[in-house]
Amino acid sequence: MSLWVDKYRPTSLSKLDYHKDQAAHLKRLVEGGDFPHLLVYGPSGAGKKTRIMCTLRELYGAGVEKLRIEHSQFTTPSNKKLEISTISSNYHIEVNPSDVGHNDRVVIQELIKNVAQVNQLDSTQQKNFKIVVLTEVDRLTKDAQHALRRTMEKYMATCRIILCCNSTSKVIPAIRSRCLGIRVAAPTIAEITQVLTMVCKKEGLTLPNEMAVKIAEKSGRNLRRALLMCEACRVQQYPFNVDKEISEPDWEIFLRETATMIAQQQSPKRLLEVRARLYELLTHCIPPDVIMKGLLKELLSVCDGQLKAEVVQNAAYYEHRLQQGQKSIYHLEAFVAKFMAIYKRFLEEGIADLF
Amino acid sequence: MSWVTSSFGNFGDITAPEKHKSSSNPQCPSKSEFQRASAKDVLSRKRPRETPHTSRNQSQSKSFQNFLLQAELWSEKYKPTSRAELAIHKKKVEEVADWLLQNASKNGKKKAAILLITGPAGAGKSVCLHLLCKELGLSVQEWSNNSELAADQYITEDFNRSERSTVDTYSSQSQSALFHNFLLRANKYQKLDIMTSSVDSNQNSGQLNTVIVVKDIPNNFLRDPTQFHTILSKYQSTGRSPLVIIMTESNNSSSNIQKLFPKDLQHQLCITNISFNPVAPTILSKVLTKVINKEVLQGLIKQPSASVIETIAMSSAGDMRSALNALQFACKLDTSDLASFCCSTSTSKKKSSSTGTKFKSKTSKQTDDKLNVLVIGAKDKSVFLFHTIGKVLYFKRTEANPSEPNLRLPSHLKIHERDPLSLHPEEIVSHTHVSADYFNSFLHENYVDFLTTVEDLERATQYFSDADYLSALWTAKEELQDYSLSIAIRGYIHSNTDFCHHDSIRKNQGWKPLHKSHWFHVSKQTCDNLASARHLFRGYHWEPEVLCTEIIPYIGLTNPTLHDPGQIRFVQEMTQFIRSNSFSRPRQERLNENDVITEEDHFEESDALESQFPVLGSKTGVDGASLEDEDTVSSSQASVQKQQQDEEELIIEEFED
Amino acid sequence: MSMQLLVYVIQPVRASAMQAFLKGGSAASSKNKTDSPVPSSSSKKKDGKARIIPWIEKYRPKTVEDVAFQDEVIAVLKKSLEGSDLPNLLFYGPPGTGKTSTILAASRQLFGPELYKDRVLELNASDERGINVIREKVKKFAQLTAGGTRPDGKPCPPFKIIILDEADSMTKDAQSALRRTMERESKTTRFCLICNYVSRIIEPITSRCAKFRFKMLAEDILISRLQMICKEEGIAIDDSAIDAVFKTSDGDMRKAIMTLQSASRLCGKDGAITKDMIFDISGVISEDYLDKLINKCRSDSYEELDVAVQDIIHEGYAASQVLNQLHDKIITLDSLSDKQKSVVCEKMGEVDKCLMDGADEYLQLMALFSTIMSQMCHGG
Repeated sequence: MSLWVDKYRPTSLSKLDYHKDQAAHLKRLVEGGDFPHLLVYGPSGAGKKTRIMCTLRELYGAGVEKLRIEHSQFTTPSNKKLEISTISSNYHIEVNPSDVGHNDRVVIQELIKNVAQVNQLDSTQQKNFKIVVLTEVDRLTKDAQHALRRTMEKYMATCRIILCCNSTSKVIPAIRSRCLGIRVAAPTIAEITQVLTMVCKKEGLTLPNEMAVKIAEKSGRNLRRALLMCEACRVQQYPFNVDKEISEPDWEIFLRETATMIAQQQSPKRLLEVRARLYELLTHCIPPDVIMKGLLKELLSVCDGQLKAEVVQNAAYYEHRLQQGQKSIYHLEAFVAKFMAIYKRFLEEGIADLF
Repeated sequence: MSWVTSSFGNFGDITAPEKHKSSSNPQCPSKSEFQRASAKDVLSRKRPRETPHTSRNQSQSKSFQNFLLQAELWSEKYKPTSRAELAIHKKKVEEVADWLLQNASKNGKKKAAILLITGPAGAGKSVCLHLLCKELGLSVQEWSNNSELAADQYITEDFNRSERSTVDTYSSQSQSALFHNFLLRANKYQKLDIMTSSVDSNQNSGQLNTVIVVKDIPNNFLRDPTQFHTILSKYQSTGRSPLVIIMTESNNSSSNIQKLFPKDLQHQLCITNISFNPVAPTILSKVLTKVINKEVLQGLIKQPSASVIETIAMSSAGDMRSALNALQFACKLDTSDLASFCCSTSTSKKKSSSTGTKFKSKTSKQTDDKLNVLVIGAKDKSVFLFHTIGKVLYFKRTEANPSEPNLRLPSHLKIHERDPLSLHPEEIVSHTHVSADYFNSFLHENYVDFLTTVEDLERATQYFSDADYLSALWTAKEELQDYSLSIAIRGYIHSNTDFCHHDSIRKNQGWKPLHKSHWFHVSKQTCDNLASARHLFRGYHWEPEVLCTEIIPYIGLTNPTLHDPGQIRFVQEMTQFIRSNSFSRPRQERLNENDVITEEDHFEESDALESQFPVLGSKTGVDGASLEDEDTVSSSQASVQKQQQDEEELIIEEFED
Repeated sequence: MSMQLLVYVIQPVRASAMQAFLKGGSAASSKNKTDSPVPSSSSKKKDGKARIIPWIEKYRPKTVEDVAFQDEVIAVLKKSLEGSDLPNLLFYGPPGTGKTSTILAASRQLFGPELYKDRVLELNASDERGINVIREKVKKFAQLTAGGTRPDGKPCPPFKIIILDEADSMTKDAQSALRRTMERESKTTRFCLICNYVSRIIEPITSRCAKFRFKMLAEDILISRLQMICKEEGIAIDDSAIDAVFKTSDGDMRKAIMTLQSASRLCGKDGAITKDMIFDISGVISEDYLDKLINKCRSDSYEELDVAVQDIIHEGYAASQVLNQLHDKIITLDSLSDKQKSVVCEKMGEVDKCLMDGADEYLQLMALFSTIMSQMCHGG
């Protein structure tokens, strides 16, 4: 299987399609010899991973592309066995420490220690350090982040760490100050359009410009999504037709229907129906915060200005609780019920005004 | 929990001097009571115990023997001898009889039939089966766990001694292996039997048929149910005689039943499941009265008052055996030295507290007939989840005390004014055996049905959100869990503005089916799906969120060539959503734990609770009915409620679980 | 990193000292002189190929007099240095004001470069200081005897110094364990505690120390330092960029120097550092962008606001950064009354807390900006 996203992923810094200045900076950083720890951040689908891989390639050459999947085992102090899958080459190792939940600290410490203690196999290589790529750093526990910060200092001689996250808000300042921050902004609509056209050209397809723009706008400045959408359109409705709706994943449609249901009727019975649908979404691994945001987006379209502000406040309130609490459904439901109540009042006032 | 402390207090008073007495003076007059007590103990536990008492008794074994003859357990003595005497709903008996008739006489059948009888202790499962087998002329082969002699007491005349002794010789083998052997052996034996009978003549084939009965399932099958399942399926394909498995349901063993007989297995092996309900209190008291009359006629005991019988019937929670035992016990009491009695039994029995209370109830009864005390031989008083949730959801209020005007809220807060609750939610919850978290989930699953307005809903959901938020801090989770539950329950109760005052009329009156919490299932499935998503697509190193919200859904849309069938299946699974516009919850999600009514209501001023009763009655009525007729449940509810007072037959059904 | 080096260095020196002790006094001095590398940090790194020393190490003040801007502290400290004695010290103040530099410089002056490694124990990792570390490591080090002379014959104070950096992140238990150790070893050991918040140090410890407060560095001091470094390193930088470094550093010298070095790494040797680049490295949002955001709030259009907030997210700006910078803006904004500001600031506090808890950035920012919007357009 090779999706377009994988197939047309640039592999070197010079081939990147946008943020060219930044690419040049990264290149100079590599050439400079003194490579610091990096903190790469930016929204989903902006190309953080792509940039990291390009940088690695710049550092070590094509060797980094020989990837293997491994399972590493760690033992916590309480003798619990942890397993985590890593992707590594001879020069780097990539791991998502949040896979192991609360035990991420152990994984980080042990993993970096292991990497740092094994010397670079290829002594002729000019770089005498290995790279550890940690993804989703913003999901790390505070404990793990503190451990990371110490480990970063301790093994500076033999390894460098590249951290990858969506937002630095959740990264402790101590780590932020020890890393060189690389902000990868989402590509603009124009940039996405350009990439889409280019990819389609390589595929031997003709993509009308309006279509490309339409996809780009719908993707929400997420290049990965744009490419996936484009490919889905290609499969389902080629030749491209600008007038046709762009294919969407089923869960988004499902979520929208759910929102419509909420707006249509406000009653306890309806809440139960909505609950069943929320369960359905959750079992399909749609994260609760995504559900919340999706609902909000759809629900706002039926509200007017002042109401929107109120609904948003509530969404923010319950989303925060959702992150803190144990049972996301409670908070999703609370939001839905809140909206129902607000919206019902709004409708009733509207009717009252008519008379 | 006051009943425990009171009884313990009572008990403590008694024990202290008694202990002293028995140790200082071994020849104390209470000795015979010791014997009786321990003898009883032996009987009731159906296992000889090497207690100091019994060893001492051996010196006077003669009188002991005498005593034993005299003191045959009533539960054995008055065992039903005919179908009519069974304190079980006729339909149930017929069901079992039909099954036995159908499956026992069939020789040409390819597969052995399996029947699973479930029901709470003392509902008459074994008695019914043995009686029916006798009636139908079927011989019974019974499995019993080797280490336990319990079954010995229950061996009927039909029990095949030789079979059992051969089983015993394998004592070095594990229970599971023994079990396996037993079933296969029974098979072989049966095969031979059939062979000969078919060679001889077919005329008496019905006579010789055997029913294999399994009452104890070796413990290790609980740990490894698959092993049990293989044995069962093997038996089904090779065995000839029908197999009857009797499982006792209790508040915590229903999961065992689920484990050993999951729905799909039941379906696959065509296992018939007949579920017995606890004996209804009315029936119970009738039987008890009958027994008393017989005993009185024989001049063995004095006639106890009707209220005692009633109390016993109520407190035994539908357990005929324990009711009879309690009755026998109660009648003996008049002549016993109570103090020593309590002492000796309490050392071994968990129910010591109730025996203690019983004494108390006995004495208090003499002064006034108002039985507010908890009762003789009562079952463990933990209230079952189903009922607790029902109680919370159908909460009640009492009239506010007008003498305390301070409790009234000022006018601008009038909307928040509620009459006091008749029961404290915390108290109700403390009687359940589930964790607060678990209870919370069940409540959450069900409360929405009981609210009528969106405003109530808004407030209630808010409280539930608060409740969950409270348990967020994992370091304090243990401590906060109970508070969190309190907030959820009280939040719901407060939010339900339809029922602010004691005399408010419920708008949405009537029984609503309760449901099991779906949340645990959902979160487990989410975890599973996420894990398999990661596993199947691990080569693509996407972050889980991206994988689930973007990659997999779009793979579903683009249909690229996937090489792994697991991936293909998974993508299909993950991109399909069930869209049912007419919302209805699957039946198996219904919460219908066939549990015993041990509601406090019975023991409180029952007049005030009369209004509550139809609710409970109909609640259980649904469950009873659901076993017989799945579709007419909803329509039958109303009628069930009304008929309750008039028709006894129906009451049985209603109270059976 | 410095801490790891330290441990590494301490071991051989101590071993050689032991050897020297066995062999006799004369060998000791000669051996020590050949063995111990003078600027040890650089020599260790020199194996293989030359590596660039972090500028914060390179431009650390060498003497107490070099420490910038903390005149009062320096004056007091100098007095006690002349007397060749130190009390127990507690330095506190905002980060990057020279606390660590001061004590390092002071101990260097006291002991000289050779003895320095032997006499100073620096513990700076927050999580390596449970009670056990305090009990074992500190105790062990404190119990080593210290002579009154340097290897080169000059007199030096007969005590050792233990520097506990980030002392405010020590647990209360560890602090009370420390208190006992402080008392017991008071004859041979001086403690220097460094922290940001003196309130997080338990009272019994603060009362045993001479407290020094370090002020936030003034603009001109910081800028002149930065310019000095740029000159030394030969970096092309314009004044506006230097100004940007200052602005993004919050008076934190370390942060400023780190930013400068990062920028120079990104630019390579010949590129010039620009203001935008500085902003970008430190994740700071440009003023214009913020002004635009605030103007959007005035529009009273939820849709416009939505687009603007989404843009923040897409640009990859951290919500916490937006919050920090916005706060400064709101405080000085004329168009809002004090009451309105207080409403907004309260919301900011709430949003900040939620963000720390891991709430969604978009939703939180929307909540904040819609509050600002309603205050601007409907409030008052």
